[in-house]
Amino acid sequence: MVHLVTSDNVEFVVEKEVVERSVLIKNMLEDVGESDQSIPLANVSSAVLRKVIEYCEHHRGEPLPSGDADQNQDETRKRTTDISEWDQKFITVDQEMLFEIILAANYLDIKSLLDVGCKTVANMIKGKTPDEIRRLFNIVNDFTPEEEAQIKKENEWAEDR
Amino acid sequence: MPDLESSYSRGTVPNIYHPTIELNNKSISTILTARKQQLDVVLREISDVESIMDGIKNFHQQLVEQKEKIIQSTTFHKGLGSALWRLPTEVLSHIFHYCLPEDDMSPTSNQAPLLLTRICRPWRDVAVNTPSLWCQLHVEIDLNRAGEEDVMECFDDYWEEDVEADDRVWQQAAFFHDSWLTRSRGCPLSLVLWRYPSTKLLKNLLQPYMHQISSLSIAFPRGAERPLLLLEGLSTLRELVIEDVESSEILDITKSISQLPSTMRVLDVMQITLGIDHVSSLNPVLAHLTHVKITLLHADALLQLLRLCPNLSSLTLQVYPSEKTLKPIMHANIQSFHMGDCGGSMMAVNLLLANLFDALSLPNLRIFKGNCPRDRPWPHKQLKDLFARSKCPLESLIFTGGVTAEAVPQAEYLALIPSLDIVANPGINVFW
Repeated sequence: MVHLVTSDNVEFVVEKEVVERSVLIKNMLEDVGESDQSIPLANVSSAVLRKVIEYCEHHRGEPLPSGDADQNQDETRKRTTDISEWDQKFITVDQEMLFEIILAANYLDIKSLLDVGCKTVANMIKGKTPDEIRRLFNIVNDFTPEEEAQIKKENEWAEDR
Repeated sequence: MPDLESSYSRGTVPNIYHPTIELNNKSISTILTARKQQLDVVLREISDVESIMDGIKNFHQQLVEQKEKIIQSTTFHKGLGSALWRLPTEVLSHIFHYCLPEDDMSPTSNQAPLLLTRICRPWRDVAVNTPSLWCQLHVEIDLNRAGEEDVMECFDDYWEEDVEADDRVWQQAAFFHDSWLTRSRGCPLSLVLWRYPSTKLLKNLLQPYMHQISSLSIAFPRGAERPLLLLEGLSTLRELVIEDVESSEILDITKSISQLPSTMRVLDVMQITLGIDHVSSLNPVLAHLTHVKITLLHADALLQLLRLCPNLSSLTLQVYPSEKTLKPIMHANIQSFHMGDCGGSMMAVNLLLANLFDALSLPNLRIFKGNCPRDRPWPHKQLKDLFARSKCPLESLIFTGGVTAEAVPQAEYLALIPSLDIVANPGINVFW
């Protein structure tokens, strides 16, 4: 069992097989060997770690994605944003939690969870207008009139095509 | 309210048919003077009230603007607290990659990556500085004219205004495409060139990026001057798809393809029919290819192709029937063989396939896919013999084109290779 301590000082005791879906923790465990010492996760709160562990438990035993596979995917660029039914249900959380999960997956180096989070955000963006996207994510349009004009010029040819 | 009564008030408008009212010019003049003074007073008061109202309106407008600014600032600061702004650049890039359209490569301003440059400064910075978002481009520039000045001389109804309009569109298109490609910053490019007004103009536009193009799908428009210019200087090309070409130009095209660099791996010339001479003229580039999709005029061109493509691992083939008996040939590297639809009568196709399967030995074959329409004969015996002779590690046997599972002698195939996965797909014929 592995002991993890979150930023709000909550301790989780997790099976090694589960927690090793995090490449960061897997490498740590390999470096320090078997130890009862807790691993501090200063960037992850208990609410977020609970979700991360839920994901890792569900996907335990599945092969970890290799770097090569990812590179091949980059090359072909035909990236699908399909998400499995369980993952979709898992990632149906409020926006703040979604971004926190993405941050945690990135920090803990859990590639498949990072992908699920990024795909979810991408699916929220796709098919929306700039105004709708700004409203959705509370983004302020901070372009100056000059920048707006430049963007309009850049996009003129591709507008309404 | 001033008193507006007068000795005339009870009567109507002075009228020669009302002689009962005696008019007195002097008293009327006095009344009018009084009314003018009264009107001046009221007009001044109206003006004063309007000034006050304008002031109130202005104040209201100021308050509305203040409200908007406060809401905007609240949204901004609320947004700043969001974990969205703590996402590292590489994660935002990762999200942006998933925003790219999965299939459609035609650029539109309402789709990524262009869409992502229009949201806010931070997103624009990340999008513009992620070269891999700008590596695919579908070039389709439709102008009024065909493009080349010598071609246009043939058209009487081609007006000066059309030239000006076309030039404007071209300038806009060139600016757009150049901005896009600049952002790719040396990354391998995948381009589709389907409709373009002029080979020369397009070549000039693409010149700085030719060495980056790793995948090119191209159609050669009818009448375009020196279309082969677009196959020159492709020093890192890996994949080439020829979509359309005039039959008179096929040999020139195959000769140009033959000169492509040793980086070439994939060639798709399914849309043009090649004879044995064309296949021979494709050499030396064939030696580097691993994936080929091709339509051949005769089966003997296939033997030539296999001889010249020692590294081939995947072949998709359409071939027209001929009565020639083929010499046996073995290809040691083909792992995937897709036999597409063949033109000709039912019996001729059956004979062709039987001949072909009799001639081939493919000791490394893992996937065989055949187009087998419903109610058409298929040389299963020869195909089984091919598998048996090749002693290949076949994993998957797929029949497309409409044949039903019952029409495939599955037990006989399984007796040969027990672990074989057999799929008879009665759907439409789909390549790959």
